[in-house]
Amino acid sequence: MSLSPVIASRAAGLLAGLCLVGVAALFAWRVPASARPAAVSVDVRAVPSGEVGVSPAAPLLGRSSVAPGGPAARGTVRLTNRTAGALAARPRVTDGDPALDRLVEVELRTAGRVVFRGPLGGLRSGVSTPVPLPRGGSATVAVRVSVPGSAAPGALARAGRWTLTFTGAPAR
Amino acid sequence: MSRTKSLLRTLLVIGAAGAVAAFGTFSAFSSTTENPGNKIDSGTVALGDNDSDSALYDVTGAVAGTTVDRCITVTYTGSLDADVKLYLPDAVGPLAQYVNMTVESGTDPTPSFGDCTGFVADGAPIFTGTLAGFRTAHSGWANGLVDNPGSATKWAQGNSLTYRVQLAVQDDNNAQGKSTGTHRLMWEARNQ
Repeated sequence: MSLSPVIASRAAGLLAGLCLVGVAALFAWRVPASARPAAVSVDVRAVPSGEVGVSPAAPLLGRSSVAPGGPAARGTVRLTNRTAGALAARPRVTDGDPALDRLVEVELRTAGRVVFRGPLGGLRSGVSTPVPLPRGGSATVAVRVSVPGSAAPGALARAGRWTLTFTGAPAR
Repeated sequence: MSRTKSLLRTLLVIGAAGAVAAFGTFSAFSSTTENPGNKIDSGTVALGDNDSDSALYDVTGAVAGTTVDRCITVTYTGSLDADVKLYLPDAVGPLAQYVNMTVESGTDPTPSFGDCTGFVADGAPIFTGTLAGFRTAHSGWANGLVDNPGSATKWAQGNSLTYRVQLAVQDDNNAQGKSTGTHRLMWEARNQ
């Protein structure tokens, strides 16, 4: 049995075409990636320390969804001096997901002055400008949490719950 | 013969291309399973007070009837629920047996170290006796004085209690010329 070269060529072309259609179909079935990056769920709770009371007792930022490059989550906390002298109160963050320490940006302001601005991880060491609290005095701190648009996609779609306390030392 | 060879070559090339295409096609069908996001985060146990490392009382030249009435607020900031106990870990001097002591716990909406102005007791005193008796009864964690906020059975993050400590030197001639010695009041938290 012999095969005509013309028929063989047509069969080969049909086969190659079917292969191409198959490969194209495989790519077509893939779900396209979303253009919108996943947000970070931010839960910040202000907790009193021995020296510095905080109010309100409710979460400062309760499971706020912060998208990269999107609007920041905001809240305020009122600090009160519980000691018998003037205090220098410094913010400190504990708990939370350390993977987000460099991703989440925090800004703390009191009386129009920036106390801290930078990656959240910077608040773990308690190094910042102190908030002055005179004896029997109080201060309101505005908290702003954001995620930069350049945030690494791998670190997104995470949730973090942080505890914010203000430790006091006698003011000099 | 040359036509047959040509045909065979053509079929060989087509077959090879088909094999590559088929390999690529079939290799897209696969399956994996994973167990993602593994990690361990430890909780915290942290207890603080509002004394700024100042003594609650420091009296010199006390006489019969000298009294101390001071308040201190203790706050739990740890993330783990905890038990908190109060005890006096240091040995006390001979004056301690002549110093009456009362300890109450309660709340103060605007605490200020030492000042008991806004203090409201939760109930009856948690200790009544002498300073020496307190030391004997509550010298460490094992026999520490247990006290929880309100009706709770534990301390949770953000809980605070204010303790009112009242001391009075007895009207006893044997009390003169003596000292209680320097001692600490210790609150200790351990997670449940």
